[in-house]
Amino acid sequence: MNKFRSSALLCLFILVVTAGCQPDADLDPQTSITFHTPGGWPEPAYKFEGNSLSQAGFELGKKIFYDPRLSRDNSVSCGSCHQQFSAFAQLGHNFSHGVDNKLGNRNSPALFNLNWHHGFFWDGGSNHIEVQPINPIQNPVEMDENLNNVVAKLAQDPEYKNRFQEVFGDETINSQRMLKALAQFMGMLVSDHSRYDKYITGAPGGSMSDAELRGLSVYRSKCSGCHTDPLFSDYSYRNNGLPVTALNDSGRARITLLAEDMHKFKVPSLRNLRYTAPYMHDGRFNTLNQVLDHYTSGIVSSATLDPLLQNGITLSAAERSDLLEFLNTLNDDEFISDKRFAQSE
Amino acid sequence: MMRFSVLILFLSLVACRKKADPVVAPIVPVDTSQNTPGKLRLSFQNKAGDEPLVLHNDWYLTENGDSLKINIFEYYVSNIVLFSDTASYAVPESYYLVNEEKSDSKTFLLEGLPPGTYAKLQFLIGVDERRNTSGAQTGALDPANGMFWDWNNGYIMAKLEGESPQSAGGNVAYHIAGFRGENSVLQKVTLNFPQPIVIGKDATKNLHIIADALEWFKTPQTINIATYPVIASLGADAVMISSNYADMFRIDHID
Ligand code: HEC
Ligand code: HEC
Repeated sequence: MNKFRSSALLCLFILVVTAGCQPDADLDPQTSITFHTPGGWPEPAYKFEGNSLSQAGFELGKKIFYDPRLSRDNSVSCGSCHQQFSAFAQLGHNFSHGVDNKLGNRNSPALFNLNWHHGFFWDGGSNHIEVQPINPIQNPVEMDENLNNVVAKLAQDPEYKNRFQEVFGDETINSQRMLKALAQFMGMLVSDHSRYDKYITGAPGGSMSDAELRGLSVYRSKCSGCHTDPLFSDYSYRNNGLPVTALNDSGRARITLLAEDMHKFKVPSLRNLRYTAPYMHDGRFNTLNQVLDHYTSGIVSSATLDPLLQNGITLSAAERSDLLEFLNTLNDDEFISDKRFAQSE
Repeated sequence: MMRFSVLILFLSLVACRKKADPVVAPIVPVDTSQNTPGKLRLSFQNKAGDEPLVLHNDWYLTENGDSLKINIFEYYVSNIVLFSDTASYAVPESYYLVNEEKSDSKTFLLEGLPPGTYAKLQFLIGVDERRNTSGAQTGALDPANGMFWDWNNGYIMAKLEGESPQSAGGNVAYHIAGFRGENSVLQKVTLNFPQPIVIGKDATKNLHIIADALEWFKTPQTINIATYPVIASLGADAVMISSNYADMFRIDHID
């Protein structure tokens, strides 16, 4: 009897404790949409844990993403620097442009397949897709606003109250809910409909020319050690031998404080390059030819230069042209014109 | 030589640091013969030495003889564990941000505690690694509280800002963060109760804890504000301050 009582008590405690472990129990959306891991791809790092994906949550995240009220003077939205026609990079700008036309010191990266990233920003300074947006919101050269103000601005809008109610079960608006909704939108930005993807999966429209196939093997032997398929990045931090500029961006070392991480940056994907120029963390190259010139003749040796590039990369004229043909098969027109991701009128 | 001694100092600081692995699950209910869960109130009083801490106004003297006015004083108390002589209980979801500016942040009630007789309390100054890396949080951990680094993600475990004529720029700012490896500033605090606290049967007890802000500037390392006016990145300096403030808490009384 006594034993029964104490084990019942134990159960009660376990119940209390496990309930306590789920601070997100209030997230109770109705309709679900599904996140689909394309065939042959690795498991994503983020699987919307504690953030039940729903149609309404995704739509709310999209509304927030395109809302300039996230910036101090209501002029700049996430979508200002991350434009769909540019695969959510900022076309034509080497450095990002924020409020008052202030210049940042890095190139706006394209946003797709974010659920596979383990760290965000060129230096991996953000450790989770849900907290990443806090930085652009608060950054003086981006949106220059603070979270409390953003939450207050959204809370003044009855439309938002309805939307938060729909997604989270009540109309409370707080930073956690806003950030989880944004993560639902951003996490759904999957780009897997390039011609190459269709070739690999045998889908219609998946034919590749001889030159493209030769380019694929050039890529396999010279680039895939870092720009690993199918994501075309291993999302590690590496130094690919770019000459250090006057800005002397220390990259990953700014975050880890380790000398061995000096001038390392997160390897970007090779998908969607047609839409995302200029290239590299500071947008220093406007064309893919300039990028390839860097790999064949511009690599600067340093203590942290990646071992794979110690001897540079050699490309014959034919290999270079085949490689460029192949890279062209990685562009995903369906992604940049997908209505689901576009700003609603 | 100088470099070498700095290295030794750093190594010894790192070596001295108590390992602060976060406490996870519930542990053992302490006394199951009485079945009504109990409560315990914790009340923090921030001081500067023997003086009450008065923000924005009063001047204090640090161990090094520097003058200091304090404008912001905040710290996280988390992963609270209560110990009896034979068992322990980890209070689930115990995350609190004590902010001198907000009187209601300085006292809080722990509820649902297994009844029993307790001898000591343990907590972390700061936020464990898991909550630094698992996405958007709310309540005490809401990043809107201004205790979250957006450029190098993680919580500021403790923050002290103020003014000092010994600082070349006039201001003092210590934002102490870091939860991993040798940059971890997580400090585990153990406070033995002066007399055992019975939880469950008697009226809810109130444990009055004093935090002395001047401890940030002394033991083991006396801080010269002229040398360290601002510490706002990961690394040995932040770890040094955290080792200093690790012993800033003491129990004043229980009522
Ligand atoms: C002023 C232009 C600007 C605005 C506005 C902006 N971003 Fe960015 N975004 C950038 C830049 C530049 C970077 C790279 C920063 C770095 O690496 O330091 C970036 C990086 C990112 C990344 C990381 C991508 C990766 O590969 O690591 C994500 C995700 C992102 N932004 C989402 C957002 C969201 C969500 C918003 C709105 C809350 C937003 N951005 C607003 C310019 C901007
Ligand atoms: C040792 C690893 C490594 C190898 C091998 C490598 N890259 Fe890179 N690549 C990187 C890194 C790291 C960056 C980002 C550097 C920066 O911005 O500082 C990068 C950037 C790029 C970019 C810019 C993308 C953007 O969105 O800005 C392109 C294009 C590119 N690489 C193509 C290639 C090609 C083609 C090859 C093979 C010929 C190749 N890379 C081989 C590591 C590598």
